[in-house]
Amino acid sequence: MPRYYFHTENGDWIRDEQGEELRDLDAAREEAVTVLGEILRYRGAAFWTTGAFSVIVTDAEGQVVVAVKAAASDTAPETWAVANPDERPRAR
Amino acid sequence: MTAKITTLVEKLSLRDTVSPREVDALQDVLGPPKTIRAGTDIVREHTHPQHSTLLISGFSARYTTLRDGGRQITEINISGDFIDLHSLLMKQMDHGVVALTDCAVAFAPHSKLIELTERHAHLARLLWLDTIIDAAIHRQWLAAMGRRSGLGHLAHLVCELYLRLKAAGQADDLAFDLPLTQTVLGDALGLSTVHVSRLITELRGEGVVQWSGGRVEILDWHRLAEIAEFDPTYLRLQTEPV
Repeated sequence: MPRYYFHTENGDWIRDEQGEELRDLDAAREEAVTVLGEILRYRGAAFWTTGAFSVIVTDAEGQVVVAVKAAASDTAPETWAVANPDERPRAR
Repeated sequence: MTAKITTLVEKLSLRDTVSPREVDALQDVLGPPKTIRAGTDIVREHTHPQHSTLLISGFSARYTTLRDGGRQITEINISGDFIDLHSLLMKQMDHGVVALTDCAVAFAPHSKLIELTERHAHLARLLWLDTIIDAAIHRQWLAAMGRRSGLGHLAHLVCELYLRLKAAGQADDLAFDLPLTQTVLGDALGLSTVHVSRLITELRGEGVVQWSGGRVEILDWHRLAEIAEFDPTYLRLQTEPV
């Protein structure tokens, strides 16, 4: 089974030196989301100080294979305005 | 007293006096020591054991597996624990027990255990207490799993294992051997190994523990217990007659 490394970034980089043997790339994706969710769960309001949290997955050769990212901000993403009529700029 | 029951008697004696007659009775129900290799099941889920197993040395874990291969460890057992005493009355195992390290065990046939409970009512109550404490440990794990922060959860496990190992005479002053992989710790905490690794780094970074090569040294017990919100009541470590 291939070995994947799950590095994390929230202001600081934390390198995963140990890695984990997983079935395939989909299992690595699943693990990446789990790691992101688990760690984010306890960040609380402090998440807004860094604003972003990423899990970057590399393979045994050090190549990035997948990444997942969560972001905190005080503004809505642009797609929100398109989907929500109340937020659209009013026509005069 | 033979070496195989030393840790069990030490643990029971902490809760109430164990008479020499009771020590002999415990000795008599147990068969010769047997070695179980790490990674092997000591008791299989759904089987009907005809004996209960005493863990003489090593670490084992009660666990439940899910269809996708996910494993949840529901208790870590240590030297002196009767790992499936409840099979005496439950009959069929609702979970498995796996050796986490090489383990030495001894079997106590159920027929002999029944006889022991009939002849030694006080000793039977002490063993009953032991299974009640197992249930108390499960309650604390459940609360930790659902509500504690990752760091609090890990700290809670360290506090618990230290006090339990100490009760069985298996820990030094604020230090103990914990030859468990981060994968095993992850399965016990319900967390990914990556997260466990970060949490250990965090505990180390705060100067609360030193943790390397399967040995844990607690540098600041007060702070560790504070992070864990640790209340040892559930381990029932005081002497009170049963």
